Amino acid sequence: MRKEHWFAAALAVIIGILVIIRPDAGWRIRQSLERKKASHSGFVESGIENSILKAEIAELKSIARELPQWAPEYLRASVYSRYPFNMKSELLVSVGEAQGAAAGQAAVLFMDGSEGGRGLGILLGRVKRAFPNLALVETVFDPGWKSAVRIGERGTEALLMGGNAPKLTLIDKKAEIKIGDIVRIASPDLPYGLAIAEVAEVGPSEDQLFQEAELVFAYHINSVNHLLILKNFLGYREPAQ
Amino acid sequence: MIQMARRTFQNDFSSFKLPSGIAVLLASYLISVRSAVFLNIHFSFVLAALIALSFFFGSWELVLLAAMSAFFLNWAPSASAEILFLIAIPILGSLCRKAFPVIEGWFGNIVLIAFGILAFYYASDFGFAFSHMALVAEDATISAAFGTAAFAIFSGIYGERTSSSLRHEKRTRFIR
Repeated sequence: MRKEHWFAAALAVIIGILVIIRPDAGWRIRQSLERKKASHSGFVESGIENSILKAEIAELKSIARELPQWAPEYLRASVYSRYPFNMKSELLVSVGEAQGAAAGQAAVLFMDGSEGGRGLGILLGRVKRAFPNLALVETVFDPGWKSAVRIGERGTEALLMGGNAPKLTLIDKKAEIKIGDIVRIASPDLPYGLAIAEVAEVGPSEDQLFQEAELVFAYHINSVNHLLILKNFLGYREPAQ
Repeated sequence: MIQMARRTFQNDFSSFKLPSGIAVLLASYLISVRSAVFLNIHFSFVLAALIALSFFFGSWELVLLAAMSAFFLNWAPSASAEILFLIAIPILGSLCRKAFPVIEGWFGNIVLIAFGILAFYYASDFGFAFSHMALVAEDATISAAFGTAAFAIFSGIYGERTSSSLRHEKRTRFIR
């Protein structure tokens, strides 16, 4: 083996070892390369606020009395790295089992002032796997994501299908869906009523049996740098009699 | 005369070859990150760049570049099939070129990149690749174009490692 080949081989072995024992070194370099001046622009923040308020109004108009009283407890987390290919949409975040994160917990996008009370934020995904000090969050943009949702003040039922451009399917053909209607989660494994996105376009499905809707999100998934993990969803209190 | 000038130019720049390879990888990574923000698609520019660079580097240098890509792209503390395929596909491509010397030049580069990206998708997640054929085709096309640009730049500066150039390299080393 030539001298320069020894150098390349030794360097390859060192980097290979780093990948296995110190993967965080790579994440830090990636973070510094991807760093932006601000995580969200004012426009994005107002979009998030708008979605949260719409979700609250929809909830209050349709189901306020039936909703359980719930005081959320959350963990603040920073995004270390994100899945770099198209097959999934996952974020690696800075809290893990040691901080109270566990598989199945909801991850929400928050904004200053919206924490606490009902207007908690926008559902971003759920914890897929918790490591001792890290957690892997599967987002609603994951092609494998499927969850029951409700649309607008009438609470029309639909199925949210993840992907690069998530969409709503199985909407009743007769249901009246308007552009701008808020979409809220209605899945038994996630906190009821969290806002997800707004309806951008509605049309008939390919088989003409249902309606389908495209969604517009108030944030960009590749720009998300911070989020909240909701800890106490499983332990929330029953509504007062 | 032109050949001589070209060879002198290539020899002068040969010490920058590995750093330029690393720079191309970094650039491909940054471009794919930026394009993901704007277009919501993660193009396989890193894989395309690795396959294109396999035409210019020896086995150990290629292993080093693949390890660096894994270092940058690894997103979770657990092992993942995608990262293994990202390392394995350019190395397998390079072995393929040795077995079939016909795969040369820019056309061979495009063919290898396209097949490499298809192999990457189908090996990593067959169900996804089968149900998102348009996205896979779009990625393969655009990444092949990116890989062709990287190939053209490297070919202009350093010259491709074809079977005949390797034979020439071995002969000169033997004479020395």
